[in-house]
Amino acid sequence: MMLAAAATLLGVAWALDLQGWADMGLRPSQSPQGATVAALLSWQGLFVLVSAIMGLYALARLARGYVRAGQPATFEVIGLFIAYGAAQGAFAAALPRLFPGS
Amino acid sequence: MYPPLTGATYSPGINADFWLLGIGFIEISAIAGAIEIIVGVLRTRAPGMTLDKLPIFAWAMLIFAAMIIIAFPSVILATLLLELERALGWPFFDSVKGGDPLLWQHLFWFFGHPEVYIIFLPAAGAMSTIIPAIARTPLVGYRLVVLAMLATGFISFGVWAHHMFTVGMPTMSVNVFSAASMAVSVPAGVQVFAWIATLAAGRMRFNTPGLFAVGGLVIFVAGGLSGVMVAMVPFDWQAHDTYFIVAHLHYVLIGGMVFPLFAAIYYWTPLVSRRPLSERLGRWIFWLMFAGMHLTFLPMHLTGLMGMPRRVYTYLPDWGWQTTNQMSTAGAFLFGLAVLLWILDMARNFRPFGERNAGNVYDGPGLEWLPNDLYSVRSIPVVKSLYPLWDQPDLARDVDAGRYFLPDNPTGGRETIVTSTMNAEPQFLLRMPKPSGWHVWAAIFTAGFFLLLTIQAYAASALCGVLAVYTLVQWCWLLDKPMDQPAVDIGGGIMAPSYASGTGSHGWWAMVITLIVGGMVALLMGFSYVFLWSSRPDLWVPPPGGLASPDPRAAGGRRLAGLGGRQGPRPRWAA
Repeated sequence: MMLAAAATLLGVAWALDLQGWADMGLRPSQSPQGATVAALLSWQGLFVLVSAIMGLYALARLARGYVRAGQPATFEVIGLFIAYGAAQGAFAAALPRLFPGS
Repeated sequence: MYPPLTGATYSPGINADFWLLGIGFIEISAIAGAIEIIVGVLRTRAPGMTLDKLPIFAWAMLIFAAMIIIAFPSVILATLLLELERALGWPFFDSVKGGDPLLWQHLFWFFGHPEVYIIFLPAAGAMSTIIPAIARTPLVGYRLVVLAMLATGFISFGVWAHHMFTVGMPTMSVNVFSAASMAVSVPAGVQVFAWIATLAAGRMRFNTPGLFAVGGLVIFVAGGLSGVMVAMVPFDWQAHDTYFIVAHLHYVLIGGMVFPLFAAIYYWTPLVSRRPLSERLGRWIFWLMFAGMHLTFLPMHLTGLMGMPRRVYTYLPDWGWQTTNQMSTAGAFLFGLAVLLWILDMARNFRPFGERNAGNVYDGPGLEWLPNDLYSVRSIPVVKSLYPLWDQPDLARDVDAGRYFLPDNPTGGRETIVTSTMNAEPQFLLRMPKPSGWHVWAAIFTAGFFLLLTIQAYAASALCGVLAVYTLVQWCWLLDKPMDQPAVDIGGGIMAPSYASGTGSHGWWAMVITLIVGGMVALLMGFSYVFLWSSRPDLWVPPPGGLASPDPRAAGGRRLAGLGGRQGPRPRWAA
C-alpha cells in the first residue's frame, strides 16, 4: 500500500509541475527552452507511468496473496524505482528554475 | 547524421526516422544485454573464481558492459531529441529557432568515441584469451592487462571532443582533449606489449586463430600510430574529414575488432558445431584478407593527404586520386573474396549431417571447454586457478562425474548458484526462468511499437506499446512467485537458501544498473538544457516560482558556450 501511495504522490508532483509550465504558456515547438523542459517532463512522465504500473503490480500481488514475510525482493525493487523517480523528478523540477531563474 | 542536414527540411521522408528509431531501439536492447552481463559476471561465477581468477574475456565483457551503461544513454537521447525535432518541430538543433547543431555533436560523440572501445574491448579480451592458448603459456601481465582495460574504459569518456577539433572550441578544451586522446594509447600499448611478450614467452602455433591474432596485432598497431597523429590538433586540422581518417579508423577497427573476431570464430567454432573450420581454407582466407586490407587502406592514407574529402566517391580525372583509389578498389575485392570463402567454409562446417566429435581442438584452458551436453555442465566446478583446465588435470572428469556443486536438481527446474561478488563463495540457489511465450510476445510488441513509430502510425504503435507492457507484466507474474523451499542441497550436503532479497538478490543489482541508465539520460538532458540556455540566453524566459537568477555569461554558462564554439578561433574555411 505504501508503494502504491508513493507512486500516486510521484504522479501528483509531476502533474503539478506540468500544470505550472502550461499555465505560463511555454510551448515546446516555440523555443529550445520549451523543447527541453517538455523533454525533461516527458522523461519524468515515463518514470511516473512505469511507477504507476509497478504500484498496480504490487497491489495485484497483495490481492492474490503473493506477499510473504521474509520474501520482500519484489517490493524492494519497486521501492528503489519509485525512490529514484522522486529524485529524478526533483532534478527535473529544480534545473529549469535554477537556469535562468526568475 | 549531423543536423541540420538531418532535419526535416533537408532530409524529408521517413528514411532518417527509420535510422533514428532503429538506433534507439537497438541501443535499448544493448543496454538490456549489458545489464545481464554485469549481473552475470559479478554474481554467477563458479565457486572459487575470485576476481583475480576471473578469465580475461569476462573482465573485458564486464568493462564493455559498464561502458554501454554509461555511453549508450547519450545516443538514445540524441536520437530521441532529433526525432522529436523532426516529428513535432521541437527546436533542439535548429539554430533558426534558437537550437544548436553542436549539441548533437556533443551527445553523439559522448557515445561515439567510447563506442570505439566498446567495439575493441571484447575483441581485446578474445585476443588475451586466444594468444595464451596458441602460445601455450599464461598471459604475461594479467593484472596489468586488466588495469589497462579499466583505464581504457575510463579515459575513453574524456576524449569525445577530439572529433570536434575543427568546430572552434576554446584552446584549453582542445588541449585537454588532445592530451587525453594521446593518453588513451598508453593502456592500449600495455595490452599490445603483453600479447607480444606472451607470444615471445611461449611456443607459438601458426594455426588459423594464431595467424588472425598476430595479423590483427600488426594492423592494430599501425592504426594506433596514425591515431596518435590525428590526436595532434595541427595535423588533425589538415586531415579532418579526408580519406586519411577513413584509412585510420579502418586500420583500428579491422586490426582491433575484425581480425580478433575471425581469430575468435576459428578458435571457438569447434565448441559450437563440434567441428573445426578448415585449416587450409583458413590460411587462404587470412592471407587474402590481410593483403586485401592493406591494399585497400594503405593507399587511402595518401588519397586523404592529397586532399580527397571523405564521404565523397567521385572526383575529376585530373586531380591525381585515380591510382590510389583503383588500388583500394582492387584490395576491397580481395577482402570480399576472403569473406566469400569464409562463408562457404562456415556453411560446410555447420552442415546438418556428418560426424561431430571435435573437442578442445586448440587445448584451451578455460571452463568453456568442459564437457557439456545440451544445457550445461554436469556439475559446477570449484575453480582454483586462472587456467583451470591446464592446472587441474582431473577437472573435466570430476565435473562430468558430478563431484562438484549442483550435481542434482533440487528444485526440479532450471537453476544455478549465485556467488559473492568478490570471493565467489556460494550464497544461494537461483531459479532460472521456465520456458514461456510471454517474453517472445513482449519482444514482438516492443519491436512493433518502434517500427510503427517510424511510419508515424501512432495509434497502432500505442496499441503495441500497451500490449508490450501487458505481456511483460504477465511474464514477470509467472517468474515472481513465492518460494516454498527455504533451503536446498546444492551438493555434498551443503544447504543453501533458495531465495534472497536486498543487495543479495539479482533483481536488486539489475534495478540499480537500470536506474544508472535512467540517471545518465536525465543528466545528459540536463546538460542539453544548460548547453542550449548558455548558447542563446536571450530566448529564455523566467520559470514559474524560480529559485535564482544567475548571469548565464558567468561561470558554467561561459564554459558550456565555449564547448559550443562561441569563443574559439574561427576555422580557416569559415574565414
